[in-house]
Amino acid sequence: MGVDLLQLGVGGLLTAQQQLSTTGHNIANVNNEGYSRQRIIQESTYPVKSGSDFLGTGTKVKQIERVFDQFRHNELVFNQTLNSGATASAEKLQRLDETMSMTGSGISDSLNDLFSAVNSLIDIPGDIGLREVMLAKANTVSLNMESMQRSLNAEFDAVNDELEVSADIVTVIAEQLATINRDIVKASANGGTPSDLLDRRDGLINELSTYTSVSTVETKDKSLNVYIASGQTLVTGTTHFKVRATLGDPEPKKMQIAIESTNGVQQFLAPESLGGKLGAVIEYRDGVLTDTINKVGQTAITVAHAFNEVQSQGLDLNEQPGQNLFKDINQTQVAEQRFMAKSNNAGNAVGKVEITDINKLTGNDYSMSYLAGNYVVVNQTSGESQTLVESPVGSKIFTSTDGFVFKETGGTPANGDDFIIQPTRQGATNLDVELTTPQQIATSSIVEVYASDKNVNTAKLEITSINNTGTPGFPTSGAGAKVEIHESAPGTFTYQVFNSAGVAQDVFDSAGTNLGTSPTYTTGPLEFTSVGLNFKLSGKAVGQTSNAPEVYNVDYAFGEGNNTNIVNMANLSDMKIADNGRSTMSDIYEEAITHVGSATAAARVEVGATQTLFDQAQGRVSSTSGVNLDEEASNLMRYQQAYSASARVISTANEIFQTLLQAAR
Amino acid sequence: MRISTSQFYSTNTSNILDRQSSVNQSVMNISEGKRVLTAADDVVASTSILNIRQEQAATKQYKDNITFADSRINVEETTLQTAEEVMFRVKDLVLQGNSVANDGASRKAIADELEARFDQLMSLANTRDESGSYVFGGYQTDSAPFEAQSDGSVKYIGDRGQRMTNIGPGVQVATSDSGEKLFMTVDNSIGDYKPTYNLDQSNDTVERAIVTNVDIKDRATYVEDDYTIDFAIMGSGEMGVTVTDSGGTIVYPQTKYVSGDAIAFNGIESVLKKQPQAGDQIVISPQDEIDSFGVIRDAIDWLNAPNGQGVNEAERQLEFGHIIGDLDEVQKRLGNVRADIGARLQLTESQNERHLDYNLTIEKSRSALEDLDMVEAISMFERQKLSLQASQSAFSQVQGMSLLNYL
Repeated sequence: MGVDLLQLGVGGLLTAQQQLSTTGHNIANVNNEGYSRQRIIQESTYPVKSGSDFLGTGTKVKQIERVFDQFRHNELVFNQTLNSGATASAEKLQRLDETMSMTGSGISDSLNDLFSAVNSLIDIPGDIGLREVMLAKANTVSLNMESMQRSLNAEFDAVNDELEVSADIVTVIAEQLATINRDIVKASANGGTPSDLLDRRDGLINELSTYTSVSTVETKDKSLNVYIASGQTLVTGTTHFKVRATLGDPEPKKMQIAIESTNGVQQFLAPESLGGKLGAVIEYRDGVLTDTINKVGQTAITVAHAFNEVQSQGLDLNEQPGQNLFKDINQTQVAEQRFMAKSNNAGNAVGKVEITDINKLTGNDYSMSYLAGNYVVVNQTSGESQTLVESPVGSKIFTSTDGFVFKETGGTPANGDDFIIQPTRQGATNLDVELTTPQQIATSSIVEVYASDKNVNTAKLEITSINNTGTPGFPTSGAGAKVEIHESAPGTFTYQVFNSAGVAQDVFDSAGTNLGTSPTYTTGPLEFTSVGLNFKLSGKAVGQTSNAPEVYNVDYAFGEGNNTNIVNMANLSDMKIADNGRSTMSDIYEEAITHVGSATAAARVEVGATQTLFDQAQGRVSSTSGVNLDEEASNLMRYQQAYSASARVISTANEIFQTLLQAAR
Repeated sequence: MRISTSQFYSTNTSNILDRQSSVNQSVMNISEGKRVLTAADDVVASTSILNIRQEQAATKQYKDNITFADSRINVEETTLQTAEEVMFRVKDLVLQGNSVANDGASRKAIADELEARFDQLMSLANTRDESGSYVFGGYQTDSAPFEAQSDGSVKYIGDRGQRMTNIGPGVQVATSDSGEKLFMTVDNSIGDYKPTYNLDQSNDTVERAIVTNVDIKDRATYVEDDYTIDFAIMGSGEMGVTVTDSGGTIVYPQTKYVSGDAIAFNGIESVLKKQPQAGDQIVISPQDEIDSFGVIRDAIDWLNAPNGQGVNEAERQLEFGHIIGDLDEVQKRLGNVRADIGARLQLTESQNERHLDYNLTIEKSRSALEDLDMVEAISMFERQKLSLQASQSAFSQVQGMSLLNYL
């Protein structure tokens, strides 16, 4: 018994038809990015036994293969996450770098302009016009800082917006994955390969991987379980979980990403484990951006405090003690903003943070916990921890070594309570000019020291700062004080301070101990306080017995032409008053600029590296699964020939049949 | 390795995009003329550039301050120069006044001119600068520091303040001197004491002993007091000199008087010259400073008083000697301050030079770091442009090749 030639031909024809349509499908999808090319796998049909031979019966389509390499795809997903993260970082940093370098130079320039106005006052301290210029320049500094702070805050908010949008997108993707899992399970139930559904699912995984790191596990029923971040389940089978951007605690603005299970319980995802765009923008926000905002704040606080200090040491044109040029850095409202308590704290302590030493400020944020009766503070950048010391005991004022104190103003803390301290974060928003009239600039010093011409030594007595203008004996107009020094015993010098009536006044050392009215010293330099003034004596005082001591007159020195205090203000520009004596006020800001610059440069390199890896991975995937038009074109020709040949077989079978029919007539 | 069609297109496209981006960056650098546009372009260089810019701002500030300082110092300098000339004229007039014989009219004329010079000195001392501030008031620059009193003297109501300004890192220069230092605290030509002569009226000898110096030599043993110096003939027939304090206690027992010898007592050393007459008495009172206006006033009073004979003439000559001595001291004080001012101007000039040199040096560094080497940049730009064109051309040639064209 022969083989049915017609059947054979038809089989071949149908197979060729399938092949042609698959080729057509591939060609049509050449520009479909997520498409894996499909291939018909032919096999011959069961042969028929004839005697001891097996006669072939033709061909059929065994399966439509989806050309796809899971391992290469996994590699692509992994590199996609890295590259997306690096690109997102670099983009944000680039923008920040441009802002700081280009528009940010306005801050340094306006500070220099302010000092230029200060220096012009050195020349003519009484000039109202020049004073008004100085106030205007101070105002410009304040405006520039505030506007920089606003831009940076807007950046911060933009990141948070992005987190919300991204979280929503991830949730949508999760939902779509769950649905597709269901469809794929159904379609694969009878052993088929729903290639296009699989392509779509892989496309979703790809998209997901740009947002966060993804790993997947395929189950026996062809469903895909999807895990994100450090292994949290996003999709299992047909169930998906929601991803949310939630407000941070205790700092609401520090938004976090959490997975929400079906019963509403949220599990926070640690930013370091997120990867991808989500991880990158959170890292940027909490790293370089926060650091920059803090440094801008630190600059503002340093400027405000330094100028205010100098103002307080002098007298203004109306002979009044100098008032604050800029708003006090420790105003209650400002001080309270620096402290935040976690919402789920068991205790209810509230407080404020005051800055006591701008030189010791680090510009970092701190997390604080109440443990075993002590406030323990951890520097979030360096990781250093310290226990705050309550001083004086019972005052509820806790001192740190980083230039700030925490004052508990109400409530009581419970063991284990957590808080956040941000000493400099809002610094630049609060840099307002407080002086209203140009007369209020304190150009004049309050007192001056004049060494008597009869002095034989080379020692110099200077006033380092005003201690208390209310102290009895403090020099006033027409009633000065006098400091006399003489050698009372070989190598020992007695020093005395007399008020205008010639009465010896109490002298205190730098710790505040009362040394009486005629203390002695042996080696200088000597620091002491008396009649409300802090003195420093350097050099060698000689003095010729109590009869002819070295005399220093300390006179009240207010005058329209007195420019001593404004000279001190001008000197602020290159005094190293920050970072433990390493930085001037503009140095802090410049450090921020270079920090951003180096982070950006590093990010650019990173992008280059991850882009290369991603491109290579993409290339490998494409090499396996991508459509090549030339290949498909040659396939078209091949399958067309097969089709024609098979058609010829059918027509031959028909002819044979016709011949047979003719023969039987 | 098999290349898919989409891979082919995407690789070539990203190639072209990369090259375009390089070209774009070059164009930006060239149009700004800078190699470092933001800190990320070269972090190490940008740190230096920022520091240099700060230094340049500081140096410019110092140079501006030097300009201000120079103009203030020059105002002082010209005023003091005129004041010196006035004092020269005053001394001339006083000398003239002594050589003119009892001619009342001529002496009155000289006295009148002295009065005019007195006023001139006062107005110089009350000079104001272009902002209306009184130059010599110390810190009290808003009102005239020298006030004429009804008794012909001048009172100083300013203070001792001296304005300073910063002209370099750690370098300050004074831009004013107080009127007190210039005019009111001139050294007493004699020293620390002022003599009052009570000559024996019965004696008409014109030449009498004159006090040339009284100085406090030993502050440890010094006792401040008015002392009386008496001359009397000693038992031996020679002229003897005794010194008593205000309580009458003898502090220097009678010793033979020798012209030019030092007479020391209570930490004080005094020197008298020429010959006294017996019965002459000199009272010395503590005064270590004189004021310039007071001296001129003394000179005017001395000229207005009539010339005398005998003992009157003796007294007048003694006064005359002291007036001339004091005028010299006034002149000396002005000269000293002018020398000081000269030194200040030299300091500002040398600082200015230093700033100019420094600025030049760091500007060179900044330019080397920040500025674009145009030649290098443009040739790189040309290369990148060429590379872009090449890849675009290659791509367009290759992308048309497809098997489908032949079907």
